[in-house]
Amino acid sequence: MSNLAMYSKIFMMEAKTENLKTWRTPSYVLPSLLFPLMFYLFFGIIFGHQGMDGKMSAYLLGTYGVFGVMGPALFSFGADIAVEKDKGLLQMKQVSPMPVLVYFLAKAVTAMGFATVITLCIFAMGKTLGQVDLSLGQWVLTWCILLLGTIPFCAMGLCIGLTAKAQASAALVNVIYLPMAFLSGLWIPIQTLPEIMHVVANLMPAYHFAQLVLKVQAFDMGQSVWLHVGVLLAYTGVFTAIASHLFKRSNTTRK
Amino acid sequence: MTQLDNAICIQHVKKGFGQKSVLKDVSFEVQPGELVALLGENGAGKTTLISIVLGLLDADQGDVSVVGHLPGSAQAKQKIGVMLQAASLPEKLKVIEQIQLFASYFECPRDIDEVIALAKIERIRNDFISVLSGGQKQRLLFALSLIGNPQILILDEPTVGLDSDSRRVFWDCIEQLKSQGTAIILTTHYLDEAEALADRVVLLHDGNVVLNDSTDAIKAQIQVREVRLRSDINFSQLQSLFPNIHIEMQGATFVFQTSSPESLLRTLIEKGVAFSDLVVTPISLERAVNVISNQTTHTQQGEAA
Repeated sequence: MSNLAMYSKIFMMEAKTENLKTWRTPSYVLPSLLFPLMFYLFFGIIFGHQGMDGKMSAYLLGTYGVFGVMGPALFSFGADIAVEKDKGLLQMKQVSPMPVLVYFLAKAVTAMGFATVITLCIFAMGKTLGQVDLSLGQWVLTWCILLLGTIPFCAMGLCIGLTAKAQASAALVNVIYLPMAFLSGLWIPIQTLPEIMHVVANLMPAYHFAQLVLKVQAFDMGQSVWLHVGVLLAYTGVFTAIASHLFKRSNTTRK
Repeated sequence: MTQLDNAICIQHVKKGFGQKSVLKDVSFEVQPGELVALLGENGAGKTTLISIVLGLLDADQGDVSVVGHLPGSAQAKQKIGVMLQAASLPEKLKVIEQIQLFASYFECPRDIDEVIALAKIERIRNDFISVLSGGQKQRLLFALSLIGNPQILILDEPTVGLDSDSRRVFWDCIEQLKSQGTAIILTTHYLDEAEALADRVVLLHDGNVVLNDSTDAIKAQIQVREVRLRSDINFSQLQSLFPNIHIEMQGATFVFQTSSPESLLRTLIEKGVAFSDLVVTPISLERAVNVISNQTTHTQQGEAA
């Protein structure tokens, strides 16, 4: 069997297993699905007509979409890997012939699959209840950006998972996830926040992610696409490098 | 014997963490079909050595080869099965799903049904891992270590949490694997287990191999015998008769450890001490290992002083 065929077989099995684990954990699935949907229902649909000339539903569809897909990426890497590391499962995988990269890739794809479910639910709510009117191209482009935009957050989650203890990891993810969502203008349009908040937002990867999504409907702040893509790539690179270092260090310091 | 003939070859391995030297100069080999019990107190360097063999750590100096391959290489990983002590599996998966996942990692995995039968987990194959008992989880971990049809098996405290029947079943399985030519490194704190299974014992003490021999040779090396007898004499009287002999009471039985059982018995008879149920045996592997560990510690302390 060629290496490619072997890795494909492992990837398929890992992805299947990750999906089984995810969907069999209602304590993870329900809040991850319901929180962004609930927020969008309240602020985007019920109170959505009160701001932005009735376009709040369309605006928040993008930002709550970002908020929704960041969660699975951060939690499936941050919390899951911390647990697997502390329970010795990660080490079992390291000593097996499974390439660790394939394992992380399967996790990322599972997180993206989960993100797709959240995205489709928000889209359905926006279309039916919020009368959000986008062209097919806009829906597809928004979905693609939401999926690809999870990558830096997978890398960020990986750093958290390799650093934090299992018991602390979920709390640590929340400490990063929720303030970052607020500061990036995911809950309240960034335009309505004070100027100083714009400076802070520009440092956040979630802000640049949201700006890319909002650009599809021309709700963004008018910065260059390449600035947002560049910042997200830079964050991905930095977090991947840190995670790689942490992964190697976890071996060299073991006694 | 060349490195290729040995399943595992460890030569002059040194490893330190910061200022602390954990492995000072460790060498030994494991041959196909041989079970080597790797013993030593906590902190002796067993885990570090196993981590080096698995490729999780690099040695500072020395060479390690695994069936002729570098530790941690893709080829070596295909040939090693590992049962790690502290590993715990995802509770939301079923036993069969976990085994199928691990089978996918190997080019030529063993038949899943065969592994399930070997590890005696037929009855729980469709159960969720969350409902398994500690012993069943251990057997599942054992099954995972076998799924790659390994030439080398590394078992780190494999029978912790198993009842005596399960341990026996496990021992039988190990014997079967040995007879099929699997080389095995076993770390255990149960020295009866090492005595029952091991062809050879490697004792690590303070980062050095202080013992590397067959279990029989080790016990023969220690000229101490265990003398058991019953008597009405009280413990303190016996101690005063034999001030230089280690004596224990186990229920109503006195247990002596002595290199000269004849002179002990002669003294008892001369002093008119009545006794019964006399048994003289070689000491167990556990006693022998303890004696050697203590001798090594005393020698090191003497040299340091």
